[in-house]
Amino acid sequence: MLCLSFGCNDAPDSVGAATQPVGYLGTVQVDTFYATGHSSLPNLLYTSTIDRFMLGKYQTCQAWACLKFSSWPDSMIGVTITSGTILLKSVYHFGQSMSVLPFNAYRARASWAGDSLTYDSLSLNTVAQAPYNYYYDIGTKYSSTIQAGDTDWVTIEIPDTSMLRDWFSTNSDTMHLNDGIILSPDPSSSNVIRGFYSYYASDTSYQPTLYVNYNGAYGPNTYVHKVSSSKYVSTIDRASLITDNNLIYVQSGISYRGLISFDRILTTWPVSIHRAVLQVTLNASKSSPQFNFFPTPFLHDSLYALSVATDSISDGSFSALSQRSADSSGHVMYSFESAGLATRWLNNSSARKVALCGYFESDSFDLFTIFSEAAADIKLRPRIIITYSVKR
Amino acid sequence: MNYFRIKVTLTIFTVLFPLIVHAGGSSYSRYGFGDILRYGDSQIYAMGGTGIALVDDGSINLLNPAGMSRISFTRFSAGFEYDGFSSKDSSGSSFYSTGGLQGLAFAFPISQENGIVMSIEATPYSKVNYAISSSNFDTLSGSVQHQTFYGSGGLSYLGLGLSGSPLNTLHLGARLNYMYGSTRQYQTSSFDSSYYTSTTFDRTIYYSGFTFTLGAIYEGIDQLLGLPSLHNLSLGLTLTTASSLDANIERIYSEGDTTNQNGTDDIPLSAGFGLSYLYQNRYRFLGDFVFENWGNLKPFALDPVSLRNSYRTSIGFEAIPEKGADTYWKRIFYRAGFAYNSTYYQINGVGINEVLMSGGVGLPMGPESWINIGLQVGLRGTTDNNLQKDIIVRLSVAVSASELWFLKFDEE
Repeated sequence: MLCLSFGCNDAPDSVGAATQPVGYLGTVQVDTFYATGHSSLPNLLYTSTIDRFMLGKYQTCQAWACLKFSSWPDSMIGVTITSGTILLKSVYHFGQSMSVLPFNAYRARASWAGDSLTYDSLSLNTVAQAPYNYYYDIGTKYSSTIQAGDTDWVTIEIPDTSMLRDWFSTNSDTMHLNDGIILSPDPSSSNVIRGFYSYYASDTSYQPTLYVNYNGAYGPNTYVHKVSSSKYVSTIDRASLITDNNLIYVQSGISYRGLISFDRILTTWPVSIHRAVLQVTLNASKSSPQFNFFPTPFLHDSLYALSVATDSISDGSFSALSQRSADSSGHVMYSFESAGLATRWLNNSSARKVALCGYFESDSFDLFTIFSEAAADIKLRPRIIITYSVKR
Repeated sequence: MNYFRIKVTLTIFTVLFPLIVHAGGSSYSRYGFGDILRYGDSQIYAMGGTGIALVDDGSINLLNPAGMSRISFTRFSAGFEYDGFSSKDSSGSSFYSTGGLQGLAFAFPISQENGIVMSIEATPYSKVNYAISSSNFDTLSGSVQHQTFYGSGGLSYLGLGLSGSPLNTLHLGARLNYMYGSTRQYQTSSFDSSYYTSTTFDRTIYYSGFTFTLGAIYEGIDQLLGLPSLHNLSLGLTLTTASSLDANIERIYSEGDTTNQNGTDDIPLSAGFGLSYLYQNRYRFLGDFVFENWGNLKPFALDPVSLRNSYRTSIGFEAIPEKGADTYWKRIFYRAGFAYNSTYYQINGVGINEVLMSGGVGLPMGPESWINIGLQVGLRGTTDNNLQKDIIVRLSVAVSASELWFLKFDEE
């Protein structure tokens, strides 16, 4: 009796499958839904924890660098400092690679820990007038002679030895809010934005390095200090970036993100979504390689698709990295596996929008210009292809 | 050996044993409320489910509440059933088995003179049990899709019955049935291609509602017609009202969404007619006919397949031991039956019919108490039109005991 009651088979097999009504075997359906709106919006850029920082100006893009040092040794307190220099190692450029990079160095005043500082805040500072909210002039100007690309060193002379003494001192006055400098490009003559290695560079020899010459008990000596942090803030003139409202602009380095709306998607819900692929098509003629006066390739030829809470701010619930391919006409397409995103749209967990941003958008100034829903050719429009089955 | 302990242990075992078994069955049970069961008590079970006109002291008639009027001692009935389904269609064959509680009933005589007996019972009404897999190349996705479907659950009812005999030859009964239960389908879908996400879908329909069963058994046909030869002929009628059960569908998707939808599902009117003839107080012959108009119901949550009106015809036979039999073997009841069931399933335009043969014994276990063993073997469906044919084997073991069974007698 026990043997009988425990049965012989509870694994399903195909017997009886034909008795199921048509449509009840989870018939797969594929529908393509096209974008219904778009915009290009600025977004906060996180630059304090990457392996580089940017400095320079190219066309209407500007990047200011913030560099500070920490973990000073007690051994340098009270020594006679004779001079100081800061060495920076180039790693990247955006704009004219052969262009010189004139910039000014200022003594930082305000704390800019993390990513709270913005370009707008810095630019409100008036150099020659109190209260010097963020920085004040220490009389250092620099004009690089770099003409060989992305591997040269930049040396910043620091004539203000009192600033260095303050940095080494242990006094906790207001001047110690930031033991660092602010670097701003000379907007009148810079035609390149250059990237420099930060303290996060894996090769420690490329990290920003402070050299301090001093007279110690045993004569002249040089102290070398590498512990630092950095970030950059950037801006672009919106009108010069968004020259065609029918296109979607994704600008790295500034963080302009493309925002695409899909108001008309599946009317049946819930369904089981087996796959959803978001596809966008690049307008190559308006993107980085051509936008640069001297064509350069993308540093990162990839995009991220992000779920959106409001505007272009990612709500952190979904992200997908693109896969690059070409359509039959040779247009570059970026495809994102987006089943999770489609699900969130359909169950109203996220706004039915997707934000596009550059891969490591703090790392470069790549510009992706994407065809929008206004493209005359429907094949160029942003679309999401959903593979699903209706369950009853 | 302490027989009293054995009896108590057997009773507990019979009730609890169904809890440890598991599922499997016919894919036809995906439709409607699943396989509609017709238990009627272990005695009736072995006679092909025939017993509308049966009035007996030795069992609780779950088909017709009027049939309880002759119960003279508090009676208890509980059974366990094993089901085996050997199914085949054009794709192959399979075997599934399951087991479960067949029913639990108590009857309390209140007035023997007036045939007043009250009953309370819990009985399965329908059963859903299937497991199906399907693999097809999907041209849209360009991948093979694998799907599985598991079904389980069913409806039961809690019945509160009352019988009475206004005349010596007329027994009436009524029972209020609280219908409840749920049917569940769990579905998985996966693809050979890694591009496609595996999904699950879990749908459960919860039901609740009331029906009302009226019954009558008339034993005075001989007097009515003036034919003394029909002295032991009785006529039974049952009528169970139609009802709209409250139905709540809960759908759980693998994406984490859960939806709920409320509505009603109809249970149709059920009308039954039966005859019983007792020959020389030793041989009982029975016949039943039951009609249910499923074809007119308005489905809400049920899969939108066409159901049809069902009818069930059955005959039964029981050999009753001679009074005063002196050996154990002579005190055994022997039963047999046959049923033809035009089920409410209509799949791919074809009605699904079932034939059933049954047999069984009633093994005396004490005063007015038996272990009833019943076996039903049947065929259902056809392999035509992409349908499936089921060979059904059901085995029932049940206790039908009166209060006397639990008393200690000196001889024990």
